[in-house]
Amino acid sequence: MKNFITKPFWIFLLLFLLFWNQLAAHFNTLILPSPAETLAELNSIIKNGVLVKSLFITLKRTFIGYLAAVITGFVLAVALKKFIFLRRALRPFITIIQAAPPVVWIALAVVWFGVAEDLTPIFLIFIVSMPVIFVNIFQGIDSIDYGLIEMAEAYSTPKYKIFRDIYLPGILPSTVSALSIAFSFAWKSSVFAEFIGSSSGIGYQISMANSNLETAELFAWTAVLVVFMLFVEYYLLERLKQKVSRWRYEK
Amino acid sequence: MKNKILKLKNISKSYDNYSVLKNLNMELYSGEITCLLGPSGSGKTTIFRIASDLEKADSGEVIKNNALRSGYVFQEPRLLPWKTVSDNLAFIQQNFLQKEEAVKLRKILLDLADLREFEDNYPHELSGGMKQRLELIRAFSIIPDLVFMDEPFKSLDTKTKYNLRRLITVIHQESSISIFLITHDPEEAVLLADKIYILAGGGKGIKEKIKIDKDRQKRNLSDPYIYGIQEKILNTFTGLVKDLDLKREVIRSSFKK
Repeated sequence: MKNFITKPFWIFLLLFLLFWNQLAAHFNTLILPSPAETLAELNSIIKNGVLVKSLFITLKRTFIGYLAAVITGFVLAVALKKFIFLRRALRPFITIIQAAPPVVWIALAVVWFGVAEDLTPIFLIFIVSMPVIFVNIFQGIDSIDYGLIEMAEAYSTPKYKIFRDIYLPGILPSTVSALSIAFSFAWKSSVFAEFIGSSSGIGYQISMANSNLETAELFAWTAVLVVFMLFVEYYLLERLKQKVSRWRYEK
Repeated sequence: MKNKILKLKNISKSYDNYSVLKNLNMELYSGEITCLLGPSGSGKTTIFRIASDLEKADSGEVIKNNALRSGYVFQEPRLLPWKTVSDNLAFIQQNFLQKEEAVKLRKILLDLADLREFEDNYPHELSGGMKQRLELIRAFSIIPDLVFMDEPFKSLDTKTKYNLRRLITVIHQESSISIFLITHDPEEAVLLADKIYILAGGGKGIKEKIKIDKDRQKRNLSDPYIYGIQEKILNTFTGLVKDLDLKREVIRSSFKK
């Protein structure tokens, strides 16, 4: 986290909170709750257990949809690179999936899977993040140095070793960036899908808070979402990136 | 009598209807350093790629023993950026040697190339000369019968070039591994080669074949015999020099104030 959480950030955050606090004093709490009210609301959702329960549900859905997207995107990218017929047949479909707005997918998912199901958010997460994984890895394969493969083949290296020791590390940098971009897509779409088409999870809690005009609670949930995203992006993925960059060569 | 280790027979190759090689014939003998010399664009790298099986000829034959074990030194070092110096060697050695034998040879070669203290470093942490030395010892690390070298000294400074040349000379002398060296530099050729093939360029094939009968250790550029061969090679690079002499008058009058 040290790359991200630096002094200027803390100073700016403090200024932001002060500004928010000043501004909130001039408004009704329904319009703009103060930081203290938000914190109190956060405390109450922690205490009554709704936070942990909802976070767990949303996490579970995100994880399943994201994992399915990563595996499918990866397999598709490799298959479409390898087989020219598949590439010609399927490549445009990925763009079509990307071109359709998420609202269309969520509308369809509600019709297909209903509102109470896990499937609606999982479907949206999958359909939104899979193309991101695919495109990044598909391009990543092109960036592999063909000279290395030729060298390994000249030295009679077995095919599986060429795959494991040249192809895989070769696409690692683009895979890591794909994972990172796709996760933020997945996390946001899961909340979005729950907001519209589910009866549990953080997105559902936000929609309830919204319709009950509990603006402070809405703010509290937003804080949870943002902090979790920061944790994944700057703690988990940053560590992965640092590992990759140990050998990463200057381009 | 030395054995033929590789023979190129009537090799032809063209790219987009532009003929690079036409009916080229060449032989490599075991234990020798054979040098292929030619200006850039004369098809040297194409011959390297065909002889080493990286590319197919349009017609003709590459005759060699199927069990021939080859090492490769590419123009630009082809090292795996995500493997350490030592692992770059091990990755290739695995395909040919038992582990124990590989480890032992690896240590010796890393020592020779002055890379022992960098064995756990990654390629991007090495200088250009060090990377080229690693590329070179990798070729020898599998105990090959033949090593193909495509301009191994290109873009190296004089000192690094000298050290690399000595390294090749000594390893070759003590191992009698055959070497097929491709270069554009007559100096390298006369100092290293047993035989020099001079490539004419423009798909015209081999222009001349020169044999050098002198102990490699005792060769230097001021030795009359070596100097003579170098002159002979330079004289085959006709064209520009000849025309230049004829144009002296034109040059003189053009620059008159």
